Amino acid sequence: MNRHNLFYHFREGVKGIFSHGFMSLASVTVMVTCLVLTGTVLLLVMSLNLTIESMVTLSDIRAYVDESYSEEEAEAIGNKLRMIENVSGVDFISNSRALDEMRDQFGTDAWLLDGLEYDNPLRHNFRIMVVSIDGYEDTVADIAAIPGISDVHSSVESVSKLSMIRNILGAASFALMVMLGAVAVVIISNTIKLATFDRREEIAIMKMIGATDGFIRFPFVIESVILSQAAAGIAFGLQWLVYNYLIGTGLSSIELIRMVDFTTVKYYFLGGFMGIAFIFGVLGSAISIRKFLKV
Amino acid sequence: MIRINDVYQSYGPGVRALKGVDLRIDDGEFVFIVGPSGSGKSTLAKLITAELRPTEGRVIVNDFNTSKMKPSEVPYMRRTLGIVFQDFRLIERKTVYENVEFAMRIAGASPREIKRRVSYVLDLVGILHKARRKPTELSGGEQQRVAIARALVNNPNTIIADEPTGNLDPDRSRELMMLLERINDLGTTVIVVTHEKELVNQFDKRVVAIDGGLIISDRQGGYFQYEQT
Repeated sequence: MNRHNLFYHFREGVKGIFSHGFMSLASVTVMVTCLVLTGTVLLLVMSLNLTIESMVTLSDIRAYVDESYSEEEAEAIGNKLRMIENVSGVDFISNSRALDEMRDQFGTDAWLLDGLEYDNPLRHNFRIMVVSIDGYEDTVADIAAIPGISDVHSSVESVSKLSMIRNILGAASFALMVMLGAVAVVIISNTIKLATFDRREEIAIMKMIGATDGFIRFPFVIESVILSQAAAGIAFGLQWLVYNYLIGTGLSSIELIRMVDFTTVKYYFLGGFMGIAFIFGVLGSAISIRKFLKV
Repeated sequence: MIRINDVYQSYGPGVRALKGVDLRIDDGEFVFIVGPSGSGKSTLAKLITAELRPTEGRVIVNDFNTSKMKPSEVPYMRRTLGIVFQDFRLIERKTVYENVEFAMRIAGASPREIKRRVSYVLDLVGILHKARRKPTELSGGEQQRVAIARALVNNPNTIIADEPTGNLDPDRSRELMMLLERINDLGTTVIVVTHEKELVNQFDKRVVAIDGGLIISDRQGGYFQYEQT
């Protein structure tokens, strides 16, 4: 590409946008819609993921030791628990400590527990923290399989249900992204097709006087890149507003639900929107101009 | 230099536009290619400009073998030619200056070269005073002069004009031919494809006559020579 022609190509690209303004507007609108829809689904999936993570953190796994084990024998099981891959922390709670904790919980009614220290009915147990919710079920099963563990309390059912929802939403968002992407490519390609059709005579002249395909294509590529980047910018702003609105509806006030803070992911979204829109734009223009170059 | 060796050109089964044509045009020549409608003269012009590839045979244009040329080489071959069309084919949204400048821009010339050369060729064809006008504001003769300026601007080895006077009156046609003759005097090869007998007869140039897809005459002199064959 000749450096003298860069400004020329840019100017021609901008002119193209305004010469068929309505189609340009339509393609920007469609692309903004596609990006915001995809972005919203993606943010919901991320928030769901966060909710699941926090649920797991809030409800640690409790593993109860067989009553026949002494305190020393019970504590030794901790080493085996720590060796399980997904386990991040193990806290041993002896039956005497468990009784103390219960006394604290009872507060002024703690006297009701008086005398139990001589014949403590509580069991030694472990509070176990996990690294990730992935493989949560397997981790619970691994814990239960350790000799001496008689009982495991976990939120395995709710976590696996939420994981399933997350996976379905993840797959749906991917399918949605592919479908909306195809729509965006078709719309952009139609806009550029209209532009090239409008200038087919000009393109034929250019070919006859020795223009390379690259020279002819470049203004159209610039036009579609400008359109797609404008769409990415608008979509980013709109995404911020839409997401904040969703949070404002009270979704985040529900204690169990954790919503992603948009400000922490805004640069990823801006970069992602610009990158995706760029690919859509270049792809759309490349598809549409090809047949007009055969002179 | 243009060399056409044993060229056949078919448009589908049974439609042969050229049937074994041999032609050599040396640098600096002025050649009329004449013949009635459907004789194959425009096909010959299209083979030279690489709008068509020969079905059989070899076409060499300014050292490019168009029969074997890669598509990516076509633009570079066309830059060695200046092509003038019957319908002028100017870009209406551009001014006269921009139409001519555009051809240099395509060839990757610097802004300084463009400024110098465009003014020179517009002056050469006598249209510099209308450089800021749009093609639609010009007469047919003036538009064809702009087309010639565009064909000339990259200093091509050869100018090929396909029926350049088809849309002009006799006086403008003669003026245009005189302009092409002047350009030829400056060293550029000029090939004019035409069916206009009276016009060809006004110039004592090489005339290649084609009919039924065959070259039936190739000699110095007017159209009448062809008719006498």
